Amino acid sequence: MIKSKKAQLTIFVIVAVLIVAIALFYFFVIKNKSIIKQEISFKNPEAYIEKCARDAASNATNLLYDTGGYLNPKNFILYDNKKVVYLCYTRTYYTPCIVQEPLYIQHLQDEIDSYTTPRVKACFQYLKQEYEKRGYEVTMDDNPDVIITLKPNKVDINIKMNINNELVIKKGDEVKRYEEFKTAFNSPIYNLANLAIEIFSQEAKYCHFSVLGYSLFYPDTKITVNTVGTGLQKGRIYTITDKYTNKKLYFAVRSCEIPPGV
Amino acid sequence: MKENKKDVIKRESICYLEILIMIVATFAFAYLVAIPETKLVSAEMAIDCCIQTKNGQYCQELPYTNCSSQCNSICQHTSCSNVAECELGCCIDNEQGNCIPNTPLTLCKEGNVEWKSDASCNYEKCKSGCCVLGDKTAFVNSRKCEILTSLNGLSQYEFYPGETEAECISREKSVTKGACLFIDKETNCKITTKDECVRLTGSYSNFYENYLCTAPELNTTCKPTTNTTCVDGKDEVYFIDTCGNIANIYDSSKVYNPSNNASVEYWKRIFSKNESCSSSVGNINSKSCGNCDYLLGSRCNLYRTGVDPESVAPDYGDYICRDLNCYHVPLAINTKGDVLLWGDKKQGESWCIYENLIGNVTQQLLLGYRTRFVIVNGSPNIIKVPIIESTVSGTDPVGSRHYIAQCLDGNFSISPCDEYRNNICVQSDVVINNETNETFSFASCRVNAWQECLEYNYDIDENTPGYTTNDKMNECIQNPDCYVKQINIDKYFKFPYCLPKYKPAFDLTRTEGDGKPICALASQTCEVVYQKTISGWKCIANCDCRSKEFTLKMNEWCRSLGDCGAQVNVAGEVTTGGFRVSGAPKLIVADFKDLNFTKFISPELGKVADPGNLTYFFKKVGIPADMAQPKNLFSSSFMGGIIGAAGITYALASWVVSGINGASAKATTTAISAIKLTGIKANVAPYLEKAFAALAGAAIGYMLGKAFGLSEEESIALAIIGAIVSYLGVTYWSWNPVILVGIAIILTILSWLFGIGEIKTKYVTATCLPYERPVGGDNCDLCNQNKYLECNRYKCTSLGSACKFINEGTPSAKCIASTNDHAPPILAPLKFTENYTYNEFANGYEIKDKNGQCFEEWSDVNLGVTSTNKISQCKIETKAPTSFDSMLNYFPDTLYDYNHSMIFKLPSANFLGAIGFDPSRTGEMRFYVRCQDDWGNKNPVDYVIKTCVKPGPDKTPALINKFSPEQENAYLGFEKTNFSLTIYTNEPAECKYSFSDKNYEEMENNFACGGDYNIVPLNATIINNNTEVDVNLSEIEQTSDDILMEYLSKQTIFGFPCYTNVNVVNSNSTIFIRCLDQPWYKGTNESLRNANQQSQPPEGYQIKLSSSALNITSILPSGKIMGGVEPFTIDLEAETSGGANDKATCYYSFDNSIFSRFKNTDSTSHSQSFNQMITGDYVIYVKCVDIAGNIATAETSFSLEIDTKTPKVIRAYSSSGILHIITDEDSECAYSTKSCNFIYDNETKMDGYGKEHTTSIISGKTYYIKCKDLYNNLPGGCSIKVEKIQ
Repeated sequence: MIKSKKAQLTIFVIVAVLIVAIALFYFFVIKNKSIIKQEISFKNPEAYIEKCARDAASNATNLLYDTGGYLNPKNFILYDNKKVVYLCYTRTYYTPCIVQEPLYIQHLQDEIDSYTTPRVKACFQYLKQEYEKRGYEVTMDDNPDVIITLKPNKVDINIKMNINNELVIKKGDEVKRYEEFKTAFNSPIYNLANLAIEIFSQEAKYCHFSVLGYSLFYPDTKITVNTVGTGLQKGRIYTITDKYTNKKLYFAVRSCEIPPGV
Repeated sequence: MKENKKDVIKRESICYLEILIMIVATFAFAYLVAIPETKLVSAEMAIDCCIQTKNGQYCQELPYTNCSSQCNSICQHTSCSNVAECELGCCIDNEQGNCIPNTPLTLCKEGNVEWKSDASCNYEKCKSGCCVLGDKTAFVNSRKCEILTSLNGLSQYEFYPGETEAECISREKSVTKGACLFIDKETNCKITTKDECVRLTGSYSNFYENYLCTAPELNTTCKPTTNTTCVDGKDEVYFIDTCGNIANIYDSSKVYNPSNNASVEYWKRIFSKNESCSSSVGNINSKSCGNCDYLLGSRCNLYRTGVDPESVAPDYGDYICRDLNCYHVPLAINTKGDVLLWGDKKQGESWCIYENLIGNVTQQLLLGYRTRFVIVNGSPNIIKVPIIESTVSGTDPVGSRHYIAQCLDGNFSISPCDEYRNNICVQSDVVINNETNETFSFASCRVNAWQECLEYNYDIDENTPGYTTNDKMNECIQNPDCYVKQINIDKYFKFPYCLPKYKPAFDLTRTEGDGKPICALASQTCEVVYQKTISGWKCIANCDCRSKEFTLKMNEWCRSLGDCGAQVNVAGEVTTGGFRVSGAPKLIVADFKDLNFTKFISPELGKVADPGNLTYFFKKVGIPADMAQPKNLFSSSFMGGIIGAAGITYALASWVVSGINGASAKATTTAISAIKLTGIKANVAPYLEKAFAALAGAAIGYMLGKAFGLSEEESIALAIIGAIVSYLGVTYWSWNPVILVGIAIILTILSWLFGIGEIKTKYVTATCLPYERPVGGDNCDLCNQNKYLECNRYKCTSLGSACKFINEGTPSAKCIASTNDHAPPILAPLKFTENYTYNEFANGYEIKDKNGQCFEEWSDVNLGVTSTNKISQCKIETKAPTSFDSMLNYFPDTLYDYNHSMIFKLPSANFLGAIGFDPSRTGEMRFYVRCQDDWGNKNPVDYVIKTCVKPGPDKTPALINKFSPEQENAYLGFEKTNFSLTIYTNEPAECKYSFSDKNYEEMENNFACGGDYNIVPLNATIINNNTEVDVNLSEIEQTSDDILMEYLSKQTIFGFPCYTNVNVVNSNSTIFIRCLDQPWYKGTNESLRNANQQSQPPEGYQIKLSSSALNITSILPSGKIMGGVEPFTIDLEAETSGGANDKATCYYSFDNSIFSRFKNTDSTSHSQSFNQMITGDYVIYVKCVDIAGNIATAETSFSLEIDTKTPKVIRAYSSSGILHIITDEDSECAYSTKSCNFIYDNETKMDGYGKEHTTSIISGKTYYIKCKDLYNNLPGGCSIKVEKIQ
């Protein structure tokens, strides 16, 4: 009986390890490979690079919604199994929150950038390998500069090669040179981020944001707020929904808390 | 010396009583410890500033003790406001055009940013205005507008500063559009803005303003249709033409018909919303008109065939103005989730939902019964007449919360206000139609200013000069969240008390906050005074404190403070564990049957919390009352304005909470003061014969009156009669005055022999504790059953001691009951090993000092038990109890926890029966502990804690633990002679002082110490006619116990207090203090007492004199102040000099009545920032007070004005190739060589920041110049155009 229990336990442990391994493999290998190992049109390499960059940046953007804009959240509160970051926080009672990410748009761009750049580099390497397999000579900058710019309703991606080391694909007399790649994809993240800034700024100034007042003025944005947690881990969770794409940006605020008693 | 049995028994009884008193006193001690915590700074409470914590938080204040373990950077040993990197200001992000308030400097350093010191961002460049972005608008600042203009690919920067958000939205709806023609495209017309058309076609000539593409004269391919559509961002239903262009608002009467001129015109040009059908109503579900209006309850939406009624199907197209109002929604809901009232609400309406009765109500309190004789049918009968008194008390039951509901987009939703009733839901109903009386309701969750109500009871004199209790009570009445309750127990036990209308809630598990100190405000001791008369002891003062009336009224006070005392929870369960009384009848649940607690758990329909007068709140925080006017609230930003009030009230709380302080002394003090005031000494003048006789008669009469227990007034009346009779007797009837004097002397001796006139005091104690939750978890599920009002941790835990709230923050959060294992808690010692030694035995342990010896007399010992298997609630007694329920004293309180501990002050060995100095004898003590778990499973047997005290005699004199004020703060007010001094001794003692160092006995001046019976002179009399009650002698037999009670009840965190008023004359201000311990031996065993052989401190206590009066030397601002933007940020600054020690604390007021403390004060410079000031004239009153009580007042007046004028160029000339521009005010200028339509910051700046500005000039070029002044007033066009002609 004891033996069978031990065996059962061992099986469970192995299954659990396997599940975790598969999940990690999926996220870090297959998912990234799915971005990288896409069909390359040898007539149009920029299409491949641009799609690679769009997919990577889009994935990054989607990862940021649930956490308040952080790929690796630290200062967060758990809400509905999401690690929602405090954009404005104070440990003390009775005082307005201190803004934790004043340059929020810049921060989001940096986060998307940090996710996208290595993937774009991998795409370049893959592109080079595939071309070289086909007898092309490829020279390029190993560290292209990926610039992410958030704009109303879209995200711009600009990949700049080093000025003296642009992407050059040669085969015989055929030479293609690429100094820059530009692409974009639709996303409401800029709009949502600006509203988040408005909300946490008002929380920092007035301890409050009037959700109903805002909703009546701007019917196309939906805002909900829930208070969760206790003590230092208490917070108002704001959820801003873009009514057209249904994307939701979550973030937390701990401001002007009053203790129960003294 | 051999003691007789009676003495031993007496000592034993004293011992037990002393221990009991210590237990009781511990609660008072806990209160005394807890309250000052808000002000005392101990090592544990000191804070450090951490620039970045390990979990990524910036500029947070961490406890000193664990800062380094949580901080990524070096802990700065000061508050963050003193750390440069953490100074809070406004971060202006020029890259994105955002102004972020309350940002630490350290986060605003990199990139294209500026950090400015006004954390509210009251800067011109942060001021929002209306930015036009094609056919949209945005309410943003000018820099953001530039960025958005650029990001949207627009060439025309259009920004309207000074517009409100509502005006900006209206502007969006009236953006000019027209038909844009494309020559070579299949769809050859599009409705756009002019700019867009230029961008698309490259020419202005292709744009036809206000024309539709279907206008016949444009001859496009686009034709009218009957089709309709909704448009993103717009409310209305629109016609579309055959090219897919949006035409005018749908109007079935304007469907294109060539024979109908109106319809032809309707398809020719763009009609505004106001020109379209029925623009003043929302056209909800209209078949014929698509002029929907979101704020009037409708918006374009698809007509759903088969779902929506046919009666609302549009005449043309597929879209209607959908009704966004809410129908048949809950307006009142109880805790169970039953909807008590349904109703309809309009789009945008919000309303409060209370699951129970809120606020305070007047109730009839049944205090008891009186016996009366009545004649019934001619025969006498005895009947009981109820004694009923009206009382006003708070109602919100334990576990309750306020909720706010809203109707938005046709959906009804309910959100909770902040937990623990720190937020209350307030509601205003505005009549929008006088004829139908139709209303629109606005609701808001705002801060409950309960702390402020309690603050009014605090003795404010030391903080704010010029305030009296009446002032404070008047202010209490003005505060919408407070009311004044008259605590009226007896003649000398009555006072007004300010209480919160909406009782605060407390964390019943005390993991987050503690309500115990708040409840303790109603823990009071009533001193009942007895006097011996010929017929026996009579109660003469505070007699009602012994009655049920005391119990009931004190509990009313107790439970009105919050979740305290005996009261009811949301499930309707009444518990009494939160209120205890000794010396008066106990409280039982049946006492509340007439109070009808059950009605508390149902909401009163129509009753809402008072939103309050915003002006009042503004005044409190120093914001001018004018700001409370709607126009000003809305002037800067809709959202900012509307919520400002809510936010500001938080600021209130921050200073209020620090002031919650020892109001509890009030009752006792009042009683003592009353006794002092009524004490009268009879004077005898033995010389003049007739007068002598009269006085002797008076004395006889007075003493007779006293002897028979008459009142003070009656005794005096008798004395007067005696005097008259004696005078007449001597004058007219030849009475011998010597006989009269003899009678008087005999009466005096008899009185002395029989102790007539002797005064004794008994103590009745009420202890107010946090509400005790019902045992068990039978009601936990009630929290989950309500489908409208969400369950939360507070409500869940209020339903039972076994209720737990799980999965918080997830959709599966719920309230469940813990498992009942039907086993009692298992108890073990809770050891504090560094100071004690423990010796365990079966079901208990013995505790001794760290050397394994018995404790010294009067030692503080920390006793503790831990329930090893589960959390439990424990009680402790010094006599073996019969059961857990029969025990009175919680260990330490009603909280369920694993660990239970309390600090006990051990008594002297004498009181434990160890008399005399004999090292082999010790005084032993036993404590009996029992606990119950959260399901009510109790220990069947006692857990015993044994300890012992070393034998006496006490050879150590009393030591002074603390002086108040401390030596370094001992200043006397300028030209004052009276100095109040309190000393705290480590054991009960009598103390004296002298202006020269001498023996205790020779010292001339007394301190009034805790057990000083001189507060009632022996020959004084206090008679209370109304409350005279016959007394059973047994009630007052244990006088020694009362002496001890008096000492111990006066014990504070610092020791045993003694007070005096030093009369400082001739600048001789050093006093020498000595004490004499063991006052209970006074007059009996004086030899056992120890006096200090040296004064404390040896060099004397020096009272420093104020060298001059306190002066306010300057206040700024004054005069005229110019600004460029509203609201202004104004820094009020005051300077003080002179007084006691060149330091003062200053307060400001806008109305000379309500004063608030400067944010930065306690120095010679005082400052306070106001960031919501608007244009106008102001007077600010300043009061400063220093440590010696010197007071100085002053005021300043100033006016705030806004400079809205743009600078004017008054001269322009060129000289040596240099262009010179002269402006009429200090300014700076920039120029473009293209047009006047340029962004100032992007163009070339001229040299010079005063009135003269220069730049080199090239002939033939035109210079378009704009100048802006110090307040950023910039013209829309050019200030001047300059061209140098050859």
